[in-house]
Amino acid sequence: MGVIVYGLGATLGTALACSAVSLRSFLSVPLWVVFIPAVLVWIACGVRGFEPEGMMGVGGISLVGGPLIASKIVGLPLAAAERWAVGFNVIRNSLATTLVVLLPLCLMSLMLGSTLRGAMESGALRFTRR
Amino acid sequence: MIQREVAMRNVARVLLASGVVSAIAMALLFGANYVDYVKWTRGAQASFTAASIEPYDDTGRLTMMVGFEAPAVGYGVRFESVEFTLESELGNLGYYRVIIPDEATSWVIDSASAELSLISDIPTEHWPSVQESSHVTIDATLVIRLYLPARDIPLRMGLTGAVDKEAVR
Repeated sequence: MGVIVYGLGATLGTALACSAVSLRSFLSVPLWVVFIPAVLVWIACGVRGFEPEGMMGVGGISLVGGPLIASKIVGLPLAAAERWAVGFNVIRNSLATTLVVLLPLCLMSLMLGSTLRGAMESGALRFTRR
Repeated sequence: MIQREVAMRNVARVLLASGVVSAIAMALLFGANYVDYVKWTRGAQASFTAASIEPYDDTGRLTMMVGFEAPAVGYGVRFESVEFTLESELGNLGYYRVIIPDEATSWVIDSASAELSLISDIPTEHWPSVQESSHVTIDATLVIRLYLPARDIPLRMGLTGAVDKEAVR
């Protein structure tokens, strides 16, 4: 259940990143900012302490679901005739973004989250008072 | 040990919530810009309100009035040029390009509509054919620069119309 919740949370972030890459003309913030939500959720997943299979599940859900949702969302305000062409274009951009940016970012963020968890477990990083 | 686990789960929940909330906020922010653009492209239209040819020196001069209307979504627009060809029953009467200076445009800001007043000389090699033609039509492309939040993009809008050459006869 936790894997699905975190996976869906990360999917929102990857869908945002994929659609923002295709619609970067409309961004009023720098492009790298749109990757922050997905990174935060992946770090959360590492801190949560899922088994490796669970982490791969979260990564898989978000990296497959994000581009699909992005292609649907970007086409939504358009006429039916244009929707397919735009959706195809978004899928193409999203695949490149996923392979080149999101996949390495996902692995690094999961590892960073796990490192944070390890630091908290060992007592090197404390959030509660003894 | 249990306390630490609870703290880690809380940190994870906070990170998850902040990731989801920031994703939704950013999506709403740039999604609104995108919807405005779609609204603009659906509503933008240009047409000839008048086009006429008059004798000028040894040749002629084409005067055009172009009406432009678009939804007021807050994006800046600059008219760059009009590229057009004149056609008649005698064939093609030349390819023309008029660079639009800012002073050629009169804007009605509230309704985001504008009227362009353009003039183009007709070259001497085409002037005899223009005089002989009974019916001249104009097939034009209005080149616009639309200023979006992150960059400006060129847009091309097609225009067609008949040319009044009453003054030439």
